[in-house]
Amino acid sequence: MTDPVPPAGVLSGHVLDLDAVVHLIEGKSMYGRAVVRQSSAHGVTLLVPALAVQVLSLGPIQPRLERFLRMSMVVTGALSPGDAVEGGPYAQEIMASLRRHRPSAADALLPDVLVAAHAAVHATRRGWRIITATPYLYEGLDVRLEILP
Amino acid sequence: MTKKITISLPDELADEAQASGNASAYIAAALRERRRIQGDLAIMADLWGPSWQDGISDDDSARAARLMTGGAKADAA
Repeated sequence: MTDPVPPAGVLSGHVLDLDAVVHLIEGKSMYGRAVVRQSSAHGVTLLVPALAVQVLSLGPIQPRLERFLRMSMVVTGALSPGDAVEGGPYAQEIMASLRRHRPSAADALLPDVLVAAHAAVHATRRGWRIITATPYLYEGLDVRLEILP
Repeated sequence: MTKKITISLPDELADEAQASGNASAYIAAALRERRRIQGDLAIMADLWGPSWQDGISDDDSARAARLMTGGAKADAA
């Protein structure tokens, strides 16, 4: 699978996790809207993990997701076989964090865990931040976060 | 295809375009960039409604701009 995103250092960007994608598509906060506007103005990439695209394609947000993905600075980050292997330990850590913070919901939030692990792989490789509305997922991971309100 | 036109620019912009070494390409790139951003803004209006920018505060804009330029404080997990 070809990753359309240039490697680290070629351009700047941020990685969105599942809640962040929904947050930005729905324009839930003015700060989130400002982030999208400034990303376009500065030509800074917003990377949506491919798993997030798949998960959200199952729900009613899908038509709006398609429009969001048409913006010039929004790109989909592929999940290669290597990424899947690399994301395994992240997924384990994130699931452990989720069980600590929301034990009753942990299993139902498996898509969030997998997308967060995929986001961590992309963010770590490129040295980019993860934009998230659920920072507790990343407890214990060596990733930089930008937290949405 | 290209079309030859004559345009007038303020001195400082004309100097900038000429200094690029290819004023036509420079201006074409600027127009393409403008078109790109306008396309993005149209999608934002489609997603969030025509008044989507009304509630964005100066603080929100400044924080987002710092994030884009790498000046944001890290919220390390």
